[in-house]
Amino acid sequence: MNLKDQFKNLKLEAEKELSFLKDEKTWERLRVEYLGRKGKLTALMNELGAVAEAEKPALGQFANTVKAELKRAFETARHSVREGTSEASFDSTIPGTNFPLGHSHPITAMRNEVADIFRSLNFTVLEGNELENEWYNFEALNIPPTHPARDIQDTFFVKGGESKRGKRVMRTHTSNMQIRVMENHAPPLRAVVIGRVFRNEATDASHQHTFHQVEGFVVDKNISVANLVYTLKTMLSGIFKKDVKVRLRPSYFPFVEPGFELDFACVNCEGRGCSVCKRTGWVEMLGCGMIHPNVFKAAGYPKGAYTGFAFGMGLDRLVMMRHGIDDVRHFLGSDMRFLEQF
Amino acid sequence: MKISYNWLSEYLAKKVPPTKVAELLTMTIAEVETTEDLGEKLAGVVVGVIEKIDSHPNADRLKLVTVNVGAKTLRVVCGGTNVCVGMRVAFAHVGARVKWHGENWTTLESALIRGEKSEGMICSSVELELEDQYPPKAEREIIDLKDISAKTGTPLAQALGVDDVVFTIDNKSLTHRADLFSHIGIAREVAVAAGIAFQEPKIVKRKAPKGARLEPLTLRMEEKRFCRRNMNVIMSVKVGPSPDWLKRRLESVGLRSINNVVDVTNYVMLEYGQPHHAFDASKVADHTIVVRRARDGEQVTTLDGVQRKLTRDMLVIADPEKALDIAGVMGGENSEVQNDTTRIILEVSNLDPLIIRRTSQSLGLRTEGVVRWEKGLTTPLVEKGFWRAVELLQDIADAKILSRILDKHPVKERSTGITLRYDYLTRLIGQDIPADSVQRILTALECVVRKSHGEWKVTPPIFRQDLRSEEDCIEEVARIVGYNSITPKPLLATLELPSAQADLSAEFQMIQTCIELQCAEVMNNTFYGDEERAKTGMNMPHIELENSQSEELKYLRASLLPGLLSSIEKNIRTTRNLRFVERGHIFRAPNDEHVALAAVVTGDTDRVFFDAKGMVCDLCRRLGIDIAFQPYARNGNFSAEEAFVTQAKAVNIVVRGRPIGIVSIVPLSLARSFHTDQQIGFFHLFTAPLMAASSGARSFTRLPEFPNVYLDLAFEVPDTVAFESIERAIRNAGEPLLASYELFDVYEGAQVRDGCRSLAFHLVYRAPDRTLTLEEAARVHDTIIQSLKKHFTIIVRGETSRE
Repeated sequence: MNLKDQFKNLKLEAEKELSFLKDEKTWERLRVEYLGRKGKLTALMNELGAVAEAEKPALGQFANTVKAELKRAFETARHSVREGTSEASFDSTIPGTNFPLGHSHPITAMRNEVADIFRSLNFTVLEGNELENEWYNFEALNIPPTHPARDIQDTFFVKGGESKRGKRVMRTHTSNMQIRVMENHAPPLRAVVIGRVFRNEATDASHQHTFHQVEGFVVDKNISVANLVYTLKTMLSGIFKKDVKVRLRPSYFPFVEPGFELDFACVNCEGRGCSVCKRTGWVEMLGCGMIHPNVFKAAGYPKGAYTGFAFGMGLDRLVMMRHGIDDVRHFLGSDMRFLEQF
Repeated sequence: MKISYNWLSEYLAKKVPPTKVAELLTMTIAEVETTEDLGEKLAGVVVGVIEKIDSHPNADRLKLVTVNVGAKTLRVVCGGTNVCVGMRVAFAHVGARVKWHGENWTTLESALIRGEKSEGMICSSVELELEDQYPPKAEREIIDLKDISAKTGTPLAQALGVDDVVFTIDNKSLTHRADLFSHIGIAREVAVAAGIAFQEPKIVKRKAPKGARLEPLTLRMEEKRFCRRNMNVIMSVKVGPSPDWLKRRLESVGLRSINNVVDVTNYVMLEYGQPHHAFDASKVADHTIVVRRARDGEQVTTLDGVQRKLTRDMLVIADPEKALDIAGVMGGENSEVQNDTTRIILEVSNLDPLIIRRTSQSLGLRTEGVVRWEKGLTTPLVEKGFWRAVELLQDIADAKILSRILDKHPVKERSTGITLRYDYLTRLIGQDIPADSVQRILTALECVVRKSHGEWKVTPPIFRQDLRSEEDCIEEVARIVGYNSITPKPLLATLELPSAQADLSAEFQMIQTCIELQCAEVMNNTFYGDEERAKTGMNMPHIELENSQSEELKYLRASLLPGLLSSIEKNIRTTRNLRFVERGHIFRAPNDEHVALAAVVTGDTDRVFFDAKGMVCDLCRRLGIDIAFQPYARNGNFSAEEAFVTQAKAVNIVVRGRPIGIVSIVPLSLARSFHTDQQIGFFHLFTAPLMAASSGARSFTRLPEFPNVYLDLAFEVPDTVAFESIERAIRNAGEPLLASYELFDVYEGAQVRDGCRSLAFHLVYRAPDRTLTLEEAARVHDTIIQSLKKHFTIIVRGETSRE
């Protein structure tokens, strides 16, 4: 038998023995027998010296391969011996392996879910800039300089940020994208804008100066209140994964007319009244309405040509409701004890 | 805003139950946030009359009392010291709630007291929390209702006039409806919504008695633009306490009774929504009222005792010598109506909403008046309120008119007609509404409606300044019809694919990949302060907020790294080997906003650099983006990240020849300033150029038909040799049979010579057209070794013995 075949045989022989391996003691004995300093592999290696010079490189390489493969086989065998225990001592109540996992931020997770729902309803999903000018954030949305919403205590202004379209502000809502989209696209439009918004408000467990909003709008020739109700009901049913009952109440937002507040029948108590819905059976969810003609005018659309609806919803509250989170400050808190729960 | 149900009901032709009123308000006008039943705690307590008193057989201090409670008589055990036959008492039936010994509210049960049955309880004031109305004079004294004339058996809440229900209405949804900040305004709407008649009180104009000597009164209107109407009169008054009904009205909606004159002004404000003011006439010089701007630095001490410094941008009501009142905001102490006041000047005006709001803001003083002014009241209300106040003052303060009635009205509002098209109404609502309903509703809301050719000409009443457009009219019709009678209809539109450019899903996929690579996603503040800048040494200019909440939140973040290092700082004491990823907007200049993606990795060795680098490779591979790494070079795009880079341990991420990001290790000193003793590797990149380069589709490589030959190779090489050049040498020498290779170990330390490191590779050989023999593979393998030896000083491990 030539040397090469001897190497092959040695490998086969060792692998066969390893396949019957029962315990770590045997493994150690076999390791000494094959891989030890006076073992079978070393013995064969030593014979390489006697091989003709021409054959040496190839055979040497081959020997090295066998050696590496044997080592690997022994390692694998050792693991299986270690991890396999007898049937009597097998304890299925020991916790499963704690694989290291990453964690999705619950706001992003909800954002993606909402984005998917709207994408499936044929909406374009956008984000937009967070630093905006007053025109897009206010004037174009029919919020004149004298409107209470413009008060300095609500809006963050940026130093030295004068532009032709007013001072620069941290957007106070994602509605700033309404005009930006309308300016560049003719109807039909179906868009949803999800992103960060900022209000200069005191921070507590339910208020934060930075939060996230979902703004949606639909514009076409004959969009109606009836369409608005249908679409929002569909969206909420998608989020809560059940048929959700909704109701409209009158409300006021300068950029819509008529303006509504949309409530949904509390999914926690099925409308019977609980602490989530403050015992009213209804949960206030979002502001919405039919887009004000002045907004279309600011976008440069011809008068009376289109109708549309718009709505704005807080993402943070939705996430808090879903997971029972009691403090909005966790979202920007970077606390692993919070993050690793998601 | 609080609205009293009893008060509201005065203006309604028919009684509507409180729950129904709350529902109508919420569903057609504005949300009722809370409904509070003031009489609730007195439920089950009635007015009773004591008929007979017997002694208790087992207790000296207790008596057996027979009480007439209206329909029947009941016998109870009573320990009241002042109990006597014929006394009118507060009787709590079994089931009523009483405050046991003035401590805990409990539900009353029939009980045996010292062996005698007691079916109810005669209450003391502490037991019903009525100490204010009936202050107890002695212990164990029961309430004596001698001042109450109500019939025996009348519920006590009703007898005391506290059987009211108070609604709290959300002001925010009414900011455009100045007319609704009053009981009359709300009543008008409830009447329309309930379909019943609205009864507005009749206004009676009065004059000074015939032949009376009139006192002089002058009104100088200097600011006609800001004061659109002003009415004044001098009246004699008898200042005293208000009657109970007036006190109760004010108290039910949260106002304190002061005296009859002040209470009337407040009452009329709550009734009509029109604020009023009464000055002590003896304190007004020359009996002259001047409406003017304040002077810069002028001071007024307001009724709350605070001295306020005014500016030219504020309006005052003054006399020729001094300011008397900050117009629309609060009256002044110098002309306050007091107990010894005998004559007043009643002053009612209409003021500009904006100037009042700004004055209120700059003084930090918000009053019930301001809440109404800032919504924009209308001038006809001045007259209504004025005459209502005169009437009430005559009724309850024995007031007499002593002067002419002055009424200056420089600005009058007009109502312009609005065209309302029926087809537009149905188009916007998405449902037919009967035309006669449209007409009926608008008319009930006091609009003048004329119909012609399928459309209406709608002229709203003056007090509805918010009704300006066709949509406004449609809203009125739809909300009264009921929004929830609208049948939802699906959107009909052509289905279109979203533009790939606008699609953010690829960007969010990158976060997802980092999460798979064991990162926790964080969201940090968009703002940070000087501390972060000082700690990180970021010296590039930052955009600064003009009105930040605090010094810690005054700059817009120029990079995600300060936030991510803070995330590490917050957690490193409890968790080692952290990995965070964040996607967010960063700001370099007002017109320079970008979306960035960054991750940080902490660990004990330089390995963290390669972890970050590996993440970049993986997330780009997922998106089918080709990237390269090049030696780090300073670049204006990374001016904010520069401070975080260790020059010798940094590379640029390059896409299509452009550097779009950095991978590096944070200098140890910087890590330490964030209280971190581990190494921090990071990447920070701009997402837009990556997205632009994303091909979306990865192309498939056919699976090889012939098997691989695997050979390993390990060698020592001086650590000055870049891996890149070794890689190149292996690739070149291995062509074409070297199919792939993998660096599986890098080792420095014992067993490796100084200045060297050991690299270990798995090499995979394969031929595209045949099964490669081991010999062939070994030949290529050897060529690689020879090539490496030629280019670099290497020592192949395992060969040492043979050399």
